[in-house]
Amino acid sequence: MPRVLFWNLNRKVLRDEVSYLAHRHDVDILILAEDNVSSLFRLSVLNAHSPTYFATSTACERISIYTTFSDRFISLRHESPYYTFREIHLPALLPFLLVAIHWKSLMWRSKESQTIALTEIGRIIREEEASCNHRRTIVVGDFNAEPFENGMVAANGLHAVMSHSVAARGQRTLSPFGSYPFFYNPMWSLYGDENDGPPGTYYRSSSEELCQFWHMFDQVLVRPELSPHLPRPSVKVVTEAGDTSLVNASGHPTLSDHLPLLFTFGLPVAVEIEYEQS
Amino acid sequence: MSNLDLWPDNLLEEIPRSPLEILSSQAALLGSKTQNIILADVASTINETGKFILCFYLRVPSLSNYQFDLFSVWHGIDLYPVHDTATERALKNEQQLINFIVEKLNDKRTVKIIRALAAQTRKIKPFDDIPF
Repeated sequence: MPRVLFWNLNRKVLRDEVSYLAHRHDVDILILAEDNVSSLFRLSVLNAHSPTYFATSTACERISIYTTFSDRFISLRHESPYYTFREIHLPALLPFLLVAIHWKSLMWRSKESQTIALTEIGRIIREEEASCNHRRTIVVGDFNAEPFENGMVAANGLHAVMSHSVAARGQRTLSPFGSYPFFYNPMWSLYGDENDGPPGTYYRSSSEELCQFWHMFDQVLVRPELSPHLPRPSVKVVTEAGDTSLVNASGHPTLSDHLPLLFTFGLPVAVEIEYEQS
Repeated sequence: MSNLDLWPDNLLEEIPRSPLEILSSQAALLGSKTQNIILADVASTINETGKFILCFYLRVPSLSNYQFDLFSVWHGIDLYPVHDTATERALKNEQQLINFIVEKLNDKRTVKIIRALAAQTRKIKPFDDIPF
């Protein structure tokens, strides 16, 4: 059951906090956005007590990924300054496609542009899945978009829905364009106060008439092929790193402007093998 | 009445160069500059709202077709303005688009990525004398 932690560090070092979270939660895939330190520095802290983590190569400057397994199990497939696609094939398990994303901020862009861009991401994901011949895909990162925004929900965008049972239908056909596979977006269940965690992953107040305060920019999406293997309770927004609180007295993010996202998922085995003696 | 032709005669005269044509002509040059180690191409799609989206990308055949998307732009049916999807900067005519492409292709980061990809395609000499 690989465990993944994603955190937008907002260009803060957060040396001890990142390392604590990685080890405390037995994170297998650590994905950091806006991490300004070198991978050598980050590894020196992560591996201070035991050689646990490997750095993985990338041309995507906005995202860095550390894993507890060698990058010989990782194929880089497709990147840009904003996303990185890797197919990960761990021994005896079926491969999966990991898409890590740190999308552009809405501060300087219109919602229309965000929709166009997320639609493109949806198309690229579908192309990569076709090239990989499977749809065991996980997309995680800072989308700078809410789960309900057009680019996230539109069929030709990411097509990410709030309901496990709707996503389980697999895909939806839209005439005359064809079929679009669903993503399941568990982050809908973490919105607001009726969950164990904070109401979102990012907080921003303003004096504008329209102010949502809490946002769920950091999200994980899974295809129906993997959603039965992603226990919803495993998806958590983290608010503390040991004795260090990641939120202030009002519950708002303080060390970084984003809170970390943690989840665990299972992978189907490649072949069921009966017990055999070597 | 059915033979009445109201169309102008010069419909196909002075056809402008499309942004896709301009981008593709630059993409086609990369192979010869890198001994075909790194290729470039342009993915063109039209979304449901009538936006033409053009993504300029690098592709490395010997690295399992690893792809790096350098930049993307979009435009409407009128060709111009072309918009940089990253910044929403509007490029109002062909010359501004060409200037934008010059910036992107000559950016230090672009050159660094191309060199890094070329380095990764170099064959590593296998060990001849593994002691087992």
